[in-house]
Amino acid sequence: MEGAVPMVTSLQIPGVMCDRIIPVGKQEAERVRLLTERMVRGEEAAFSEFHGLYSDRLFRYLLVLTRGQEDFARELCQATMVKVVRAMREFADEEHLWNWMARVGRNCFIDALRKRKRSPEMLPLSEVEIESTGEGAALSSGAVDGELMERLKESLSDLDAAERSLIEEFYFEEKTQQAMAEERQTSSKAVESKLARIRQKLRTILLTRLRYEK
Amino acid sequence: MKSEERLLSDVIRDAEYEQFQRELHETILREARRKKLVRARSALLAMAAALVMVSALVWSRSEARRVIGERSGREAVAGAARLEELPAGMVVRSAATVEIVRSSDDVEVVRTADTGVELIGDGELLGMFGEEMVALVGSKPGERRLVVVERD
Repeated sequence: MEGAVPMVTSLQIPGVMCDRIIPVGKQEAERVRLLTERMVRGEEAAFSEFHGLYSDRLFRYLLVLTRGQEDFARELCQATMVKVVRAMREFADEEHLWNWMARVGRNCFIDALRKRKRSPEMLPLSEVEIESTGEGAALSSGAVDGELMERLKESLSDLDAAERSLIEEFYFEEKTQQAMAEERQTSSKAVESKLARIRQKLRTILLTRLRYEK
Repeated sequence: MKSEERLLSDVIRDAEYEQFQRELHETILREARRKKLVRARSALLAMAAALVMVSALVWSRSEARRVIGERSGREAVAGAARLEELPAGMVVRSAATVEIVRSSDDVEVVRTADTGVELIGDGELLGMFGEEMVALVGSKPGERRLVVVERD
C-alpha cells in the first residue's frame, strides 16, 4: 500500500498508557480479519463494505475467466457472492480471502460450464492454466488485472487517432474536459459525450479481444 | 488511482454495470439477513432443544428419586413390621422348633403331638391287623387305600 503509515493504536491498561505500532502489512491483514469477523457476526455494514471492496475485483476476475462474456460473468458473480456470503468465515489476511473467493468463483464457473455443456474451447485461461495453479490456488488479482490491462492497451490501438488522442489526453495527460473542449473549440458537454462513446467502443473491443484472443 | 486503472474502471463501469452492482449489493444484503435469521432460528431451536433435554433430565431424575423414595418407604414399613415386637399372647411355640406367629388372637392354634410321627412300612401296617383280611389297593398314582374285609 503506497503512502500508508503505520497505524498507532493506544492500549488502555489500568495504571499504564502505552502505544502499539502496527506495521502496514499487518494493518491490511487486521482490516481484513476485522471485516470478515464482522461479516461472520452478521453485521450488514460489513457486507456493504465487502461489496464495495471486492465486487469489482471479482467481476473482473470472472470476466477474464469467461473470456469477456459479460452476462455470463455477471451471472457467475452473483452466484459466487451468494456462496461467499453463505460460507463466510474469518480470514487472517487479504491473500487468503481473495484466493478463497477466486476458488469459489472458479468452481461456480466450472459448474456452470458443466451445466451448459459448453465446448472446451470456451474455457478462458485454458485448462492448463487452471490446472497449473493447483488445487486451492487461484489466479492472482495481479494476473487478472494484467490480462485486462493488456487487452485494454491492444484495444486502444484499434481506436482511430482522434479517439485515441481524446482518451490519452483525459486519462494519461489528465487534462480537464474544459481544457480539451477549448482546444477543440467545442463544449465540455460534447467532450464528455464523445468520451462516453469512446469508452463504450473500447468496452466492446476489449470484450471481443478477451473472447477471441489467446 | 493510476490512469490506466481509471480508464479500465470507466470502461467496465457503464450504466448497466452500475445497475448490476446495485442488484448484487441487494442480493448480498438479502443473503446476509437470511443467514442471520437462519442462525437466530437455529440458536433458538438449539436453546429450545437444550431446555427440553434439561427438563427431561430433571424430570427423569426427580422421577427416579420418587421411585427410590417409594421403595425405601415400603422397605421402611416392612422393616418396622419385622422389628416390632409382638405381644406375648400372639407368639406360640410348638414342641418342635417351628415358631408360629399369629396375626390375630382369634386364630386357633392346633397343637400336634409332642413327638414326631412314626413312619411304618406296608408289611408292618398289614401285620397290625393280625388274622383279619386286609389289603392295600392302589386307586391312582400316589394314593392307596386300605381295605378291611369283614367276615360276617
